[in-house]
Amino acid sequence: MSIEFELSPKQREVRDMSRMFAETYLRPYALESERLGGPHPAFVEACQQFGLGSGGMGAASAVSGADEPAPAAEGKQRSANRTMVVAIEELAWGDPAGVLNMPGPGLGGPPVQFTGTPAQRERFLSIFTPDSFKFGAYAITEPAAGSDAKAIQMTCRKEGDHWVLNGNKFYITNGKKAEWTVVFATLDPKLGRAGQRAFVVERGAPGFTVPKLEQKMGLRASETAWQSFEDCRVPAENLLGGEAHYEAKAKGGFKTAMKTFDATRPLVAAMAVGIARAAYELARDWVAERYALSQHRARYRRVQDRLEWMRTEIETARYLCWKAAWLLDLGRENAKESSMSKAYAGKMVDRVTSAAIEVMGPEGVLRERMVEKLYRDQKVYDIFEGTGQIQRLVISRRLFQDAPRTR
Amino acid sequence: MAISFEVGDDLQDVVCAVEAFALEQVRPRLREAEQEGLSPQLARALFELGLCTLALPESLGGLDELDVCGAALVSEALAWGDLGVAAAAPGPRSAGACVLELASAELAERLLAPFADEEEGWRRSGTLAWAEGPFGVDPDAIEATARREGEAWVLSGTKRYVWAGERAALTLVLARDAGSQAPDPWDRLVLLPVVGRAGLRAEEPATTLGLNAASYVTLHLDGARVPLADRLGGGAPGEVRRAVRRTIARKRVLDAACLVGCMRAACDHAFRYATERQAFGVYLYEHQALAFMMADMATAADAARNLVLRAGAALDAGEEEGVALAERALRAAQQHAREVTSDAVQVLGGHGYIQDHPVEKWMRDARTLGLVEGLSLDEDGTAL
Repeated sequence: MSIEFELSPKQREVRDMSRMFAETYLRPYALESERLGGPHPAFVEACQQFGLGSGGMGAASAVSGADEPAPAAEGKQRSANRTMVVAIEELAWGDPAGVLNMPGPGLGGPPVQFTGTPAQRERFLSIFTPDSFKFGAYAITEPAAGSDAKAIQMTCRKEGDHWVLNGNKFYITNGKKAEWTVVFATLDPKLGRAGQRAFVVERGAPGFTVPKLEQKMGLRASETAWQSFEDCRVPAENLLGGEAHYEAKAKGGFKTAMKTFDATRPLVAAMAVGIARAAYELARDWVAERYALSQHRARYRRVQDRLEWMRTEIETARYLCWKAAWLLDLGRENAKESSMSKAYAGKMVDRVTSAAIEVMGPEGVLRERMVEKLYRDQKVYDIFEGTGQIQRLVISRRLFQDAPRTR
Repeated sequence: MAISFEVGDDLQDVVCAVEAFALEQVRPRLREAEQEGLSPQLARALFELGLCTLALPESLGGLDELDVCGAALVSEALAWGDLGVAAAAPGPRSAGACVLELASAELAERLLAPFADEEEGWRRSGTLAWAEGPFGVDPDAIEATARREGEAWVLSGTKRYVWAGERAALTLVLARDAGSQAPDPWDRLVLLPVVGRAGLRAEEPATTLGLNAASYVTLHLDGARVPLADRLGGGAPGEVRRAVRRTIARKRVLDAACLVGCMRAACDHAFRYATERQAFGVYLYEHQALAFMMADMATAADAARNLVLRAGAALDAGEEEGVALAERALRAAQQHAREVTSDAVQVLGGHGYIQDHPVEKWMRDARTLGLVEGLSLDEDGTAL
């Protein structure tokens, strides 16, 4: 073991496949599917044809559950998280909204993997067969509880062999079309983290409705739903992890939510890297075309300098993602590094896409240009999966975890 | 083959030893070194730990199998003690690396073995006399000239920003061969090692913003003589350009690594202060405005190190992109170090600005590194 930045042959293969898929089935339909407000039929067909229905994110975390000890034997190391950050950068390069339209359990995958009982894993994950086009979803955020995830107000109470849920979940990706959603609720808001429970709520559960799909600044081809639960009845066996999980760990529900982030934040950060790279390449190619024969030598030099800077920014964020994923593959603590990747990438993608627009001048802000879309798409990468501020909170808490406290 | 950030156990042991040394021997002397230069005791201690001979292979008295990545991590550890001391440490440094790129084994041994000499090695420094102006090494603009006279090259001209140029035991001069008509300007250049001080005249060292333990001088080549056979390389087309590029790339990676060490030192100092000092009844780190700033400082240091390792790994593997990666790594490290060291001063407030704490020095040192030597490469329109 030493310092290496070479991809393994398997990872190279996955990256090349992802790149091919992004070039062929994501980028060409990106602007059209934004107008449609959903996945393009050609993309759906390709997903089924390539057997992508099992999804990537769930699969990656499945082999890398932080609960499992790292494999002892050298060379038998897990690499799924590293493979995923590499692959997802390519896909997001094609179309960030398209990545969220890739079928599979999505962000709902990791909690089912990490916390679910074997029966729940079988029941909820086996429906994602390679040729299916199905989705899972993940719901914590509420109208009055975003970053402060322990402040959720949605309640759950046990009635016989069912749980009854009441409340609202906001901004849920694929929250309408999902087969099921991992939903966080609380026995009593006053109990804080200890009162939280996670449920798998299936589409069609009585009392579960989707009153509205949101209109967004970007990622407009991705579905963002308001989920409403009014005396929604969920069978007892849908309590994620079963009763035992919450007896064993006082903070069970909250911990499930946080552990999910350790795996997903580097992936979201890697998507931001893909977006930034896409914007950089578009600007670079545009500049090469326009400036190569122009008389504006001084400006050309300045622009080249700007492009080099963009490239450095992209690489900086990429290796933060790789390191967080590497730690997770090895089964090591990575909360700080995971947040570092997300904190850096979330801001980096704003700087880089903005610079891409700037380089292209008035052409950069035209609606039919991909860079204009990327600039709108990227902003949420500093917001979802934990805002930049939450990432800095996580990092600083880790930096000062052993320091004396006044409060 | 896989993505890995693992520092092997052997290297980790070396890094730990250097960090322990940095803490015990370097930190207490950083102001003294800043004012008076490295003391003989400190220079000798650096030498005995092997820190002055990082560029040398084991056969010439260097550390066993220390590649660019390894040298970077060791440099980082020393610079974590103090960037100023790391920048002033004696040894063959980049001149040694360049000699190893191009010289025959016999010549390399003759030029470099004195640096590993147990009694006198610690006194010796090797330096690159390459830049002539502030805009880097431009092959078209090199005016220093080498003329063949009998059995020797005779040098004339002026070199600027030469590190330790007033006392170097080995001065590697990049000069125009007066007799060459090669079509490529790079191929008209020769790399000539001047051993000793004869024919070299240094001006008074410049006073700089930071890195005051080191010296940077204007060096006049007043007829220094180099035996004809001592020219590095055999005159093959492209070899000088390649050696210059690789030497600068390696140096950039090590400089960037030193900046990472400096960033970490500044973080450590500021973070500790933030857990000791209270304001408004709570520790500084409990104020979110400062906690978030420090989260960004820690992220920047980690991020910069990843780029250093990436570039180092590329150079070690002989990847063509290594040279460009090294340039970007140094650029990023400079930007991050500027911000991190400045923020470290900010965390300490008024105390940070006062020389009782080292952070103001590290802010000046970090800003100076990579600029003072004028070793940017200006080719194909992409200046650093």
